Amino acid sequence: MYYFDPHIHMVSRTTDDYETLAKMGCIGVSEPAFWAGYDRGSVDGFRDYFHQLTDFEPKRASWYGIAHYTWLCINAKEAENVQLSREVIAMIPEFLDCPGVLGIGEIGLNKNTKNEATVFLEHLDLAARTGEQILIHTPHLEDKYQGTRMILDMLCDDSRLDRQRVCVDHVEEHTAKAVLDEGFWAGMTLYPVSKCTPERAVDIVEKFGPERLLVNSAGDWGPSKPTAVPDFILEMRLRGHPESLIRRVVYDNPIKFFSQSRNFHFDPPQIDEPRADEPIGV
Amino acid sequence: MTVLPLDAEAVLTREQLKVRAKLIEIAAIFDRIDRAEGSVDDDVRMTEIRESIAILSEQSHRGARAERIQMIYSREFDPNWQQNLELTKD
Ligand SMILES: [Zn+2]
Repeated sequence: MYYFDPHIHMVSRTTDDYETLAKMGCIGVSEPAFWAGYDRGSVDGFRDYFHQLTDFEPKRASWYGIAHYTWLCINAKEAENVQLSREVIAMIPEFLDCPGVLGIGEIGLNKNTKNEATVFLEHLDLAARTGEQILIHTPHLEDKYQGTRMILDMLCDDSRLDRQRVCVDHVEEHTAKAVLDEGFWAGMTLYPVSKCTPERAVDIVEKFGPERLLVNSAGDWGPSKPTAVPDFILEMRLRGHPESLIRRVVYDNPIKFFSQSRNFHFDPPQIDEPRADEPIGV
Repeated sequence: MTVLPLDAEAVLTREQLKVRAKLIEIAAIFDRIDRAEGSVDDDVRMTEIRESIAILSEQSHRGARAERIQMIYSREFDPNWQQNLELTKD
């Protein structure tokens, strides 16, 4: 089955991973800007990173027939440095017209601090002023619930934002409902250690339905599995869910969400897959 | 809500060995703690574990057990957080 991985950090992955993804049916990825594992020292460090995201990564992806899209920001971890964050936010518009730039992301909170919230609000303001879509990182483990609620407060306070154009990512059992109820898109991240497993992501789809739900691997430089979306597809199938429902979550939904960005151009491949009511392999 | 294609018995049949393995794994971890020097009876992390285990068998949490356990491991949310952090929008 063809699918998108709407959140994966390919700069941290090898070219072999692109090949593996392509062989598993991945035809598009979207890559949010994130923390590189160390704090960058200057705005030029981010400018170089944005060049990589908008120039070299799309090229590398294209070698395997994968469309590459990206989101730009300074991540929540480095947002502790408010001065640097402001310089990065002022520089981002240089890249907003580049092909494949879908919006501002992944912004969010990490330890739910005042500085993180301040920089988050300034990113929201940038997105509102420039009409960009937004992709949001929610914190890990014990900080997730609190941070997600804080993020929802800030989003709901800004009447300029179109909720259909915002995705709140890394939702789990205790945060998915609040995000969906407020009218935002929700992303489920499949991680081997923290966050959600493929099985639990399928549970969430069963509980809330496929509307405005995305599934991603968030593959990066840490323990992560870039082929986690196919794991989700397999689990859906083994539980007997129809192909049409699976395709909706891993293919139709990302395209629907991304299509709201002016820089999203995608030529869908000819899909010749079994209909929902056809048994597989017949 | 999406209709589950599998009925309860089919789900149990599919998951039973996984549940068994995870329960034995947890039991073995407790045994390991017991065999080690010292005590963690008053450790807040043990309290969280005990509360989580209780949720597994409480009927009132049917259908929301994962969410309940997630909340045991979550910091509290204060609706007045913006005032407390003295967050000002400018
Ligand atoms: Zn990420």
